[in-house]
Amino acid sequence: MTTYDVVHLVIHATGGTIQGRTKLQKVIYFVGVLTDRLKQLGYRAHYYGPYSSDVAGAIQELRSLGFLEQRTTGVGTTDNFGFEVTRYDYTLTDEGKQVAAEKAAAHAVEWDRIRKAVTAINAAPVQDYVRLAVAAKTHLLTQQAGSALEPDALKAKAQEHGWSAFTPEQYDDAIRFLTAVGLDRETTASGVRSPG
Amino acid sequence: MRFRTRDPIHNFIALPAEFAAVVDSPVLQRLRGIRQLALASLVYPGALHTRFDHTLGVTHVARLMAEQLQVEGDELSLVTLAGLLHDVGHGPFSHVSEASLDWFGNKSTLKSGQAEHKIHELVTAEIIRTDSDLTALLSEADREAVVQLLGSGTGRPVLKQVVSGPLDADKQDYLLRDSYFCGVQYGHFDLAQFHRSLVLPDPAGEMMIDEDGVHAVEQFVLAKYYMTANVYRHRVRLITDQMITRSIRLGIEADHLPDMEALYRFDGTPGFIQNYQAWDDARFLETFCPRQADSPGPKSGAMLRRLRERRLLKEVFRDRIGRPYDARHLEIMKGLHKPKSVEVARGVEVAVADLLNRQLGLTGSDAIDPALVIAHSYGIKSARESSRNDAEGILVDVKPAPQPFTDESTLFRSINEAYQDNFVVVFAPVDWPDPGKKEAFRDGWKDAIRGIIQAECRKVKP
Repeated sequence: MTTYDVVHLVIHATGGTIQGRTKLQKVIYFVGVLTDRLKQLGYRAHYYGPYSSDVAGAIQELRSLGFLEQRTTGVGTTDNFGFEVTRYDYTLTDEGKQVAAEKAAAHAVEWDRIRKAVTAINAAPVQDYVRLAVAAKTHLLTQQAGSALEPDALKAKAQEHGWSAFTPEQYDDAIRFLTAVGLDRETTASGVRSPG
Repeated sequence: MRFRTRDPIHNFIALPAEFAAVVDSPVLQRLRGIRQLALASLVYPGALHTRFDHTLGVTHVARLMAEQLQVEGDELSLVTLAGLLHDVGHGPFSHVSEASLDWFGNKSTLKSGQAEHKIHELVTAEIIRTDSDLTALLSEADREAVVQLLGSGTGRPVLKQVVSGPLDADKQDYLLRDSYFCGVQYGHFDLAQFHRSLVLPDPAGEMMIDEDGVHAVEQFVLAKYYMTANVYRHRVRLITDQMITRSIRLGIEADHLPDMEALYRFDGTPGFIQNYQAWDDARFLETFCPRQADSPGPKSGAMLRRLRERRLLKEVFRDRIGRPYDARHLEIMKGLHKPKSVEVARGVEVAVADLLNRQLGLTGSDAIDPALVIAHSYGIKSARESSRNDAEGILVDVKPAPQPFTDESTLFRSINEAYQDNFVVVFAPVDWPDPGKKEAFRDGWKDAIRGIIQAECRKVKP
C-alpha cells in the first residue's frame, strides 16, 4: 500500500472525520509507529513536531479526487503554542468512503492493523491536538535519542529543534498517552524498545 | 582566481577561487548540453537555456540566502557545493530522463537502502560520490556531506531549507530564469525583498520570513503557480515531453535498442554511471534519430522524427478527472501515467487509435499506429496549495509563535480552497482535416473516448 492508501484508510478507520490538520498529522504519525510504517510515511522533525509532506500530499490527492472534504473554522484564534489560527477539519465524502471500503476489503490484513491502531489511539486518554503533538514530539525525540529521556533531557532536546519546552503537565500527558497506546517502554525510563 | 561570469538573471555571478575547478569540471560542463526545459523551445523559441546556466544561478542565490541568514565558513562551502552539484544527475532532456529512469530502473538489483529512493536521486548521489574528476577535487567527507544535504539533510535545518524546501534557491532561480528565456512575465517576484525578509529566529531551527516579506512571498508563490499553469503544464510542452518519454519506452520495449536500455535501465553499477555521464540532448537525438540517416529503431525513430520536424501529436481528448466517471476509477485515471496503470493506458491508446482511424477514414499506411497514441494524466495545484506540501509549509515569524504563511497572508487566506485540478488527456498523431474545426472534432469524440476510458478502467481487478 502507498502512503496515499494508508492515509485514506486511517481516516476511514477514524469514522471518516478528523478535526484539525495537526491532529490528522499526529494520528497518522502514531498509526505509522504502531504499524511499523513510519519510515514509509516520511515523517521528519518540523517546527510543529513530526510532520510528513507525503501525508500532506496524500490529503491533497484525496481532496482533488473528491474523496475528502476540508472545512475551515476558527479564523482569528491563536494560542501560546502557535497551533492552527485556522482549524482544518477533514471528512470523507460518500465516494471516499465507498472507495476506502473497497480498499479495506482488498487489503484486509493491513486494514486490520490500521483499524486496531486507530482504535488504540482513540481509546487513549489524551485526544486534543496540542497534547497529541507533544506526545508525538516526545516519541520522536526518544526515537532519535535511541533511549528513554527524563523530562529535563527531553526539554533540552525539544529546544534543540526549536520546539517550545514542555511543561511537566504536558510531559505527564504525553507519557499517559504513550502508555495507553502501548509505546511507553520506548519513551519512559522503565525500559527502551528498539525502534521498529 | 575566483570564478566570475555574466548572467542574464543575476547580472554578475562570482564564486570564491576554490570552486572554480568544480565549475570547470566535466561533470558540470556536461550540463551545458542539457536544456533546462527539454524541448520547450518548440513552444517558446527562446527556451534554449541549460542546466549549467541554472546551476550557476542556484549557487548564486543559495549564497545570497546564506549571507542573509549568516550561514558562513564550512556551512557556506557546503551550501555552495550543493548548489553546484544538485543537478549533475540530469540526463538528456532533464526531467524527461528522470521519469524514464524511474520507469525502467530495476530496484530489485539495488543495494540495501537504495530502493526507497527515486532512481534519479540515486544517480545524482552516485555521480557525486564516484565521479573521478570530483573525487580529485573534493574530499570524500565533502562529497558525502553534499549527498546527505541533497538527500534527507545534514547539519542545521536551515542548510537543507536553502537547498531544498518551499523557499529554496532552486525554485527562485528557475522561476526567474525560465520566465526570462521563455519570454513570459509570469515568473517574476521581488528577489531582493524576498531575501531581505528571510529570518532564522533560532539558529538551530527553521528558516522563516518576517512580516515584511509576506508580499514578496505572495509574489513568489503566485509566480510558481502561473509558471506551472502557463509554461510547465503548457499543452504543447506536455506533448513534447510525452513524445520523448514515449520514444524512450518504444526504443527499449519495441525496438530493443541496447544503447537506450543501457542509458535508462539503472542497475546501480559504476558502468551505468560512466555511460550515463557521456550523454546529453544532442547525442541522444543524433544517436536515436540521426538528421541524415535512418533511425536505429523504427518505432522510437518515428516519434523522434516527428519532434525533429515539429510534427507534434495533437491533443484529441482532455477531461477533468471527477464526475461523470465512476468514483472507483478516479485513482486509476489519476495514475494513468504510472507503470501501475500501463495496461489501462495501453488499452485506451489502442481503442482510441481504432476510433480515430474509423472517424477519419484512415487505412493501410495512413492508419494511426497505437504505439504513437499517448494516454496521460496530470494535475495542477491551486496557488494556495502551491505554497505548501512540496516540502512543508512556509512559516512567518510573528508573535507569540510562528504561523503558516497561508494564514498570515491576507491574499492567500481569501483564495478559495480549491486545491488541485487533475486531467486525463490523449495525444495522437492526427492532422486536423480542418484546423478551424478542431474543437468540433474533439467535442464529437469526447463521449466515445470517455466510454473507452471507463471500459478500460472496469477491466482492472480491485
